[in-house]
Amino acid sequence: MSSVAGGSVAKEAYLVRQSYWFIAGIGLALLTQFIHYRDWARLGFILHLLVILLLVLVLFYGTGGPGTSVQRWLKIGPFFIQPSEFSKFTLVLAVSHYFREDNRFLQQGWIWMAWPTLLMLIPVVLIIRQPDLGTALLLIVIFAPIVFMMGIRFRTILSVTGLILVSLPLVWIYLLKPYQQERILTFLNPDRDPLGTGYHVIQSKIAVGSGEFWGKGYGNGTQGQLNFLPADHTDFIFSVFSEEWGFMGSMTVLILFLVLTLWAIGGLYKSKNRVSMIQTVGVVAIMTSHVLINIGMTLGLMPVVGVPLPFFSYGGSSMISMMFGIGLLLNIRMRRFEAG
Amino acid sequence: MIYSFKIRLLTIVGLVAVSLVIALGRSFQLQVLEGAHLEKLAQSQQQRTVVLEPKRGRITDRNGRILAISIPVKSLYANPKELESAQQTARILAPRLGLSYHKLKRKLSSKRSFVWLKRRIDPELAKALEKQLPKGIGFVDEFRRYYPQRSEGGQMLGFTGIDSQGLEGLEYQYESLLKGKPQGYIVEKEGTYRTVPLKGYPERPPEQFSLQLTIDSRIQHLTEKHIAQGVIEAQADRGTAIVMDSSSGAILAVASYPGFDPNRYRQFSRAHFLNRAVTSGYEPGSTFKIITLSAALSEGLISVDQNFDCENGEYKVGGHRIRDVKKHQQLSLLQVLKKSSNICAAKIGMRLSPHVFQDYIKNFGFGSRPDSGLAAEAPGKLLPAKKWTAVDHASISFGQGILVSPLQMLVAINVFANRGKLVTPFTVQHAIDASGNSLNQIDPPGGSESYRFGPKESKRIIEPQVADLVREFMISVTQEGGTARRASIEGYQVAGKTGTSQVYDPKLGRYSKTQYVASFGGFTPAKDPRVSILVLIRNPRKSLYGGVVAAPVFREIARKTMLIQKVFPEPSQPNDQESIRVSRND
Repeated sequence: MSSVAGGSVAKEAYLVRQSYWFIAGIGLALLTQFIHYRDWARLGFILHLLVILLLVLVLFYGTGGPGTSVQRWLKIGPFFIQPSEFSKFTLVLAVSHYFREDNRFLQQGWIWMAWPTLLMLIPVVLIIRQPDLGTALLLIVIFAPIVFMMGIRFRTILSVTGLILVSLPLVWIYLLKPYQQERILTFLNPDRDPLGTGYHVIQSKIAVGSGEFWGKGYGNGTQGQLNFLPADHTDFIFSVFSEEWGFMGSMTVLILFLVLTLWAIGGLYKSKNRVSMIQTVGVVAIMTSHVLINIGMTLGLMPVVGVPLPFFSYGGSSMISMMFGIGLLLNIRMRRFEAG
Repeated sequence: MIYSFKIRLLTIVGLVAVSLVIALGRSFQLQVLEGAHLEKLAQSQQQRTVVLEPKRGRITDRNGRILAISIPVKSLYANPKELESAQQTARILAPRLGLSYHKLKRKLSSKRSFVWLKRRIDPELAKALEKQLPKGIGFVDEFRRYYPQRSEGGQMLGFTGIDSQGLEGLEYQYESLLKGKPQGYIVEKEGTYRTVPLKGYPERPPEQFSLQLTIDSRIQHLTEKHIAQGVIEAQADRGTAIVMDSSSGAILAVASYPGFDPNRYRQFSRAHFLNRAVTSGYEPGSTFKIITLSAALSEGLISVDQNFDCENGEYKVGGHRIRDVKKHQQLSLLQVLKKSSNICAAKIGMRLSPHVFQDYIKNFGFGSRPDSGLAAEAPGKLLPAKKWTAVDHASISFGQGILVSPLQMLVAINVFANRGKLVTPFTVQHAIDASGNSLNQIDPPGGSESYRFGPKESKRIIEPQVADLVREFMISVTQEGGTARRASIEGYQVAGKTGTSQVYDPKLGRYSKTQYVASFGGFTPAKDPRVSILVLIRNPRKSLYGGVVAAPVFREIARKTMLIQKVFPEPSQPNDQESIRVSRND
């Protein structure tokens, strides 16, 4: 509905391209079924090593788009790929492959944690170097429930949490770039810089709120259409959606994601092996963490980080990897009656 | 299982569910509880009121010829936040706009989101620029005031400033009508990442009030021409001429030389802006004698067949000497005016009591603003009667010691063209509203002043017989033996009176010996007056007499105006016989 000619052409092009990615994603989800999830785990381990290699390459040859100093994408032919986006899934697959033999780990004391932690930590460090703190933290967030499900002792959880809390000031001082500190400060108080970094959050809250109960109707969201929202088709898609569909719309989306989570976890009640358990928890962790961080960000509950909303945000990498996740869940569910 | 698998699984599901419920609660808070408030916030940032400058009304002459008009032009602005490179943009634009590179770069590096680069640019340049406008640069429609007649009528019209506000002259005087009411419009605004929106503007509102003046551009043109010639030929400092329709009081032309071109008023000094016909005062000198004579005649203090002793050119009043230019012994009343004797005029004036005399002076319009519609009218200066000394009384009788504006003097002279009735001058015929209706009166709602246009009621101030008699005297002035023989026009009878007055020098505290005002005021045709004209020349160096420097200017303006008015000369009927015949009748 934008009257700016260039804008509407671009927006239609987004729609067309995203449709292609969606179809490709569905196809991938179906193709995933042909390979057993155990084989995916084995393949994933190799892919994870490949991703780590690509992450190293990103540090040397990566680009971040015009005018930015970050390096997140690799240009391969006509495509831009973001290795960190794939690292989430390869991490889950690689860890599940590591624990393919049941009960072998508990006898080895705390050492059993060393290898998986390393699988997680190497990409985390590489991604922080890009720098992309959001994705790096996401890897930790995805890793945490897997370890939790593997039976880590509550005592360990407490000491690790304590350690993190103690190191926070050091992280703040030595690890965070000024713009990252700025984002966190602005998250705590968006009005501190209403036209700068706080702008996104304020505009997003106004967009969501002005949708009220029933929304303004499809294509009638003034905040989105008048370009008050930055990145309205990617990271802030939920704001646009909520503005146009109101509380009913945002409630529907949240409930659908909850149903997806319950459906995936429900399959684990009959699960017999750790590979499928780790993969399921991992995929659920990836999806819910994306959903919660993205929506939390648009609602002003989380600091602004560039995390897409699964199945909603524009972008091929996100659509393809999330569809792969769905394919993996279907794969596990399809083979749940197999022995051992 | 060694550990409680299901409890851990439930813990995760619980965490996810709780998180989603928190998000849902937050959505509820924003969209339902605070929704109305945030919707208001959204509206307030998406809409803003833009005040559009309405197209200023035009000013035309009595025949519809345009004297002042607003032409749409484009102004160039930049949103520095959107520029890709201030440096590069400045390098491209600076030579095309004729601005210095550094100045432009500084503007383009501003932190604001709106800066003017150049206002009212050349239309051709605008067209060329429009084709390849860099990002962050845009046009705004504005208006430029244009005066097609250039310097003609410049002081009367005045001019407008950069924001189209009237600063001088009629543009200032009728600012609220010409400018009209600026109207606010609500337009959509975009986020900071887009161009300043100029879309969604409604169509321009129609012009506000336009003014149709009584001015006739043709007469204005010739008046300008001849006053300039007169000033140059007399080697004078400056001059003023006013042409007025005798019976209605409509001002047909008003010019002061040197003038200025309102299209480029910045190139002129402020002194050129003054419409000296109404703003500045002068001592009228001998012209004023017609007032003195009419007052004395009306009061019955003198009679037409009386002779006066003009004291052979020198007369003492209150220790001061009054002199005549030429020595006169005995003069008839007609000759007192024709020869313009100061001494006899003083003697006649002294017969009137100061208060009675002053009442007549005030009735003729002196001491108060003429209310002609022209801007910045001066009331002149009149010493209160109770303060008059004998010398004041005597000098006022022949037009010294009193300050009047040229227009006031012309209005007074015009009383004799209207057989004793004072006609109030006016400059604006009517106002024309947006739908084309002519209005003679406008009462702004709640406004303090209401505007009235067109002729006003005339007011009798002296009896017709007295006025006619003085008119006869004025006719003789332009005839053989009168002081203004040069004002006579072949084929037309002219009535008028010269004036040559000294200029009081406030620095010296006395009258200057070198500065004079030479003037001639009159009307024609004398028996059926169509136009009344006053010509005033300040500090002539070639000759200081009104009859010599001002009368020829009067003649040229009057003659040509007559032709424009389609009043053609009567075939050679000797003026003298005519006047004698009429005066015998009286």
